Amino acid sequence: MSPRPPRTLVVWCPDWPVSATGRPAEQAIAVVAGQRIIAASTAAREKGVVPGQRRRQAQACCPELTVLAHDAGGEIRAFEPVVRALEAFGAPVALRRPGWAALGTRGPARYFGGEAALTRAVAAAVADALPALARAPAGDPAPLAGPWWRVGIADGPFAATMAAQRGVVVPAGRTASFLAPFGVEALGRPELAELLRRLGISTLGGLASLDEADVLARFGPDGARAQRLAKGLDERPFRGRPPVPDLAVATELDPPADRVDAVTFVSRGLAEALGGRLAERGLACTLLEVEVETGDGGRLSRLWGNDGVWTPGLVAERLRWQLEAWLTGRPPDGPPDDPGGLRPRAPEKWAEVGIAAVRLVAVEVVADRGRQLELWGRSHAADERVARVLARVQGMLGHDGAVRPVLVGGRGPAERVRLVPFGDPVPDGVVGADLPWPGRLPSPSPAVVPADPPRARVLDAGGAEVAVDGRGAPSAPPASIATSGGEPVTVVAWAGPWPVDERWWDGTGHRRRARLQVVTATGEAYLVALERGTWLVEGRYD
Amino acid sequence: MRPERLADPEPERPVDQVGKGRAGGVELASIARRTRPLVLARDELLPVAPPLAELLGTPGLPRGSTVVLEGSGVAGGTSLALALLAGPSSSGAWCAVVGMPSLGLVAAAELGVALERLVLVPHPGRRFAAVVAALLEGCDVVVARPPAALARGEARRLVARARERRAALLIAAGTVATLPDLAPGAPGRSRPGEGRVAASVLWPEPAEVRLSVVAGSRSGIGRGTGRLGPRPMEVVATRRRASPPEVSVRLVLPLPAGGSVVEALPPPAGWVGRGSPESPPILPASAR
Repeated sequence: MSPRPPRTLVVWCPDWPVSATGRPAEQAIAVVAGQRIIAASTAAREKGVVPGQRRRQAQACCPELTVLAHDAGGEIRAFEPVVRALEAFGAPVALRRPGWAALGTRGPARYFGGEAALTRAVAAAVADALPALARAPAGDPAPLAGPWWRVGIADGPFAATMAAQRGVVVPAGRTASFLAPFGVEALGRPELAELLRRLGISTLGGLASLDEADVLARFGPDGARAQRLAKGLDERPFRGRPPVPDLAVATELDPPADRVDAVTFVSRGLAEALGGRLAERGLACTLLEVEVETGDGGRLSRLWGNDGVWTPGLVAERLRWQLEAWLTGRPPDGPPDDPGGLRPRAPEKWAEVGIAAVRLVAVEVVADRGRQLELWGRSHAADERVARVLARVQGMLGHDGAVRPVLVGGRGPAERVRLVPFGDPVPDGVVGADLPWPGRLPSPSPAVVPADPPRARVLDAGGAEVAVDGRGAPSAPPASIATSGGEPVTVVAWAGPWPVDERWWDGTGHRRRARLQVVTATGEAYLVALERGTWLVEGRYD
Repeated sequence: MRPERLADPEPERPVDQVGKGRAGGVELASIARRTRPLVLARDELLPVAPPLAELLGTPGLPRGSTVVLEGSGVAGGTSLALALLAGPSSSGAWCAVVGMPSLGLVAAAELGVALERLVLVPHPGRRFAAVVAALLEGCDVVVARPPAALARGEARRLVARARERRAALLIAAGTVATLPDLAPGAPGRSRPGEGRVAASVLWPEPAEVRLSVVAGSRSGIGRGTGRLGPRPMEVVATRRRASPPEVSVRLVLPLPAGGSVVEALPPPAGWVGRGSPESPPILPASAR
């Protein structure tokens, strides 16, 4: 028998993606990711909106529903005050996703005089962390279950999450009996839960009472892990992130500075101070927030990430470019939205009022392990120079003005590339480009791939549009090709069509296409694709 | 500060003798070359494949130079630009591409460009000159498609900036498609020949080398058979410094492994009428 998992306090915010938007809970709101509802407000739930629904179904249930797009970064930022509030308790805080945080209770519980007192203190701190959201019902100053948070304590994070959903403190050693009445769906393994239900095991207690060896033999290692959870034996102790010490430096400018170089000069000293504090603790900053306060109380801030080295020169340089970009406003032909920061209200005006304060905050820190430099060559210095130059370009054009390509899996030339803003990490869930993709077009690929494929007409000798039948055969050999408004050009050679039937098992992602390579009499070669009765020019072999 | 450019002296004897007769001799010589503290004339060259070097008239792409890929009526300019990038990129140089939003990046990877050191600025807009000038400071090679309204003075400043920062500037003036050009923002050209006249006006400044694809054919594709294969093309280079001032080189893109000069290639004789028998079938397994 393994020892009991550590006592854990969990703060759980149901439907955090909705709460993070900061809109009133009485409004019917749903957050969607990829056409599926992932979170819904209470008002929306009352009308029958549930996570997992298609967006259309949800709108049918509740016509006044406000549908918002999933914003992972915003959720993390909105949750940060809660995490800071928890870190004030002095124990390591673990995060699994925005809206879920765990705290080891061993030290704090003793300090506050018992777990019940600690839970109340945490609930109060969490409620205070986001005053814009908290509207606790009058009476009890800090209920364990508020309008947007739940707090609970049990043995191990899994049981503590269940306790938080109920807003209770489960006494030590009683976790197994607390968990017993919950349904097997609580394990978060839908396939296993369905199987267990069909076998007549509907509760965690039922699963826990089975013989361990039998469970392992029948359900495999994952089943055995699920059984350990059901018994209240969380198999992995959570890893906390070290509490972030006060890593902010600020300075006020009196009178407000009206020139960019004055501000950058001050920021140099600030960056040195921050670097010194980080070095004392053996930390490196991976995410730095720069906040500028204007003379009339306005605020501009931006988060910058890099691999952990912020020299004073680098900070000053970036701040200067940022200020210049803010001062000159957005170029009229730049990207319409700026995800990384706030726009100044009126550029002329804020040049007038000046800058009253500069603040640097180390938002995210990691233990400083140094960096691996290249043994030969100047590549490392070159990388740093490129990063600096691109920060400047991004200052001019916006964060997504400079991108880097990542090859991903796919069949068409456009599907195989994802563009990531320079400096951002490559997003998770990128499917490997080296996996086999049956039906992928072989090399060489078209050198020109339009982002928005123009429509084309592929005509046969009689002037009728070429169709492709269910077996992938063309209705007639293509004789000419024309784009909208253009004269048809004779086709002298062609190959294909190659039909592709992708994601036929998926209602929304299903695509049927037939690709054709054509060579025109002028010597150009195009890749055209027929989809839903329309020919599109997917690429040009240039 | 960069050391002064020096004439390339004879390779240091002792190092060569150490490496001679041993299996690791080549590696050792290359290590010795890289650890030498001086900047030599040949270090000022970014490596390129042999057929392209023949076009440029130098063993590599010289840092600080400007190469213009002129628009001609024959397709292949984009592939040629990517092939020029491939050598520097695969040997560790950072490359940037400005103003080409519909660049085929799979094709870039296939032609040998290392995508992890490639940066794209697809829509520089009116800040084209400022963006290119900034990138020339950090990147080793910058490929740029200038807007039609680029002022002569700005072009001259960019050439000077490239020379000063020891970066290579590749101006992709763009080829012209008979069907409307696929790049958004490019004016649609519906009639053949109409755009070909205007294409070379895009870069008003002189350049070390001007490249132009003058002829090409398509291989491997027939009427309903085969598929498009590597593209044989003929490229004419006009050089300012190298002699002869004008050369014509035949090559095939993507370059075959080893990057050999493809002089032996038979001249393109019109369109291949049959699909080549060795073209593998690519009917997908999922076809139903």
